[in-house]
Amino acid sequence: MESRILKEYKDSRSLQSQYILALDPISTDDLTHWECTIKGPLHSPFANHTFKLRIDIPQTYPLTTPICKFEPFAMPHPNVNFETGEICLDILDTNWSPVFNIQYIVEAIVWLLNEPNFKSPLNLDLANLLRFDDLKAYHDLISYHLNNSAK
Amino acid sequence: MSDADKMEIDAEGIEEQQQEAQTESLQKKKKFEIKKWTAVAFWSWDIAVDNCAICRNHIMEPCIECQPKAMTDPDNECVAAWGVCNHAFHLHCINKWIKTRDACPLDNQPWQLARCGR
Repeated sequence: MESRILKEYKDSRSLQSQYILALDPISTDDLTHWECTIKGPLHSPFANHTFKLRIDIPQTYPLTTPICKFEPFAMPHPNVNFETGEICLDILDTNWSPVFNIQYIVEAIVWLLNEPNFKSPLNLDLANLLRFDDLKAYHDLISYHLNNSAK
Repeated sequence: MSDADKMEIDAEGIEEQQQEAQTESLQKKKKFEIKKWTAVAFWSWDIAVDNCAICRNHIMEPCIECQPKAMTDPDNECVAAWGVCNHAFHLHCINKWIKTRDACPLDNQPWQLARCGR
């Protein structure tokens, strides 16, 4: 399904989004590996930070989902594995539909930053703080990680 | 009066009558007449979506995989398929997808083919 990715590449050239700062294939010779820079949503603990996403498109795309990851040790979030950057998001798993495209996935990930879900955690520490509604500790732990990774 | 004279008068009379009829028809003649008219019509596909949401090609054109061979093979059997939900995809595309999950990609309801064709 190479040429659907080609269509998405053409569309991505005119992409304008508040939170997607960059969405580009790593090399224009191979449109199956993409890199994306997103901005942390306002009113979330991730505001004023930018994050890089790596998106790998399988040969079977769009029948199977792209593999999306944050950089290792960069995203402290209840639904992101801190060590690997792996993301737990329903549309990247059982709720995938070939109707979605790369841009939609990135927008869903930005949305996830603002809407963490402690019921499917990949970061137990943060998920537990959220579960017991200790928002101050939750925000502080995120800030701690963000400021440490920035150094 | 000879027959010839009679005929002459009669002929004149007919001519006069014809002239009168002509002027009358000229007066009655329409102010304008249509010399030429060109009909303009708009059309669109009578379906909810124009593009197949799976391959993003137009639903009435071959799917993304049949597209390259469609040029050389006009009898290509790449048709559109409608589900009972009235969402349309290429038959090739939806058949591939339902092997992964038997649900309409647009509304997530169980996929049931209603009809297929052009």
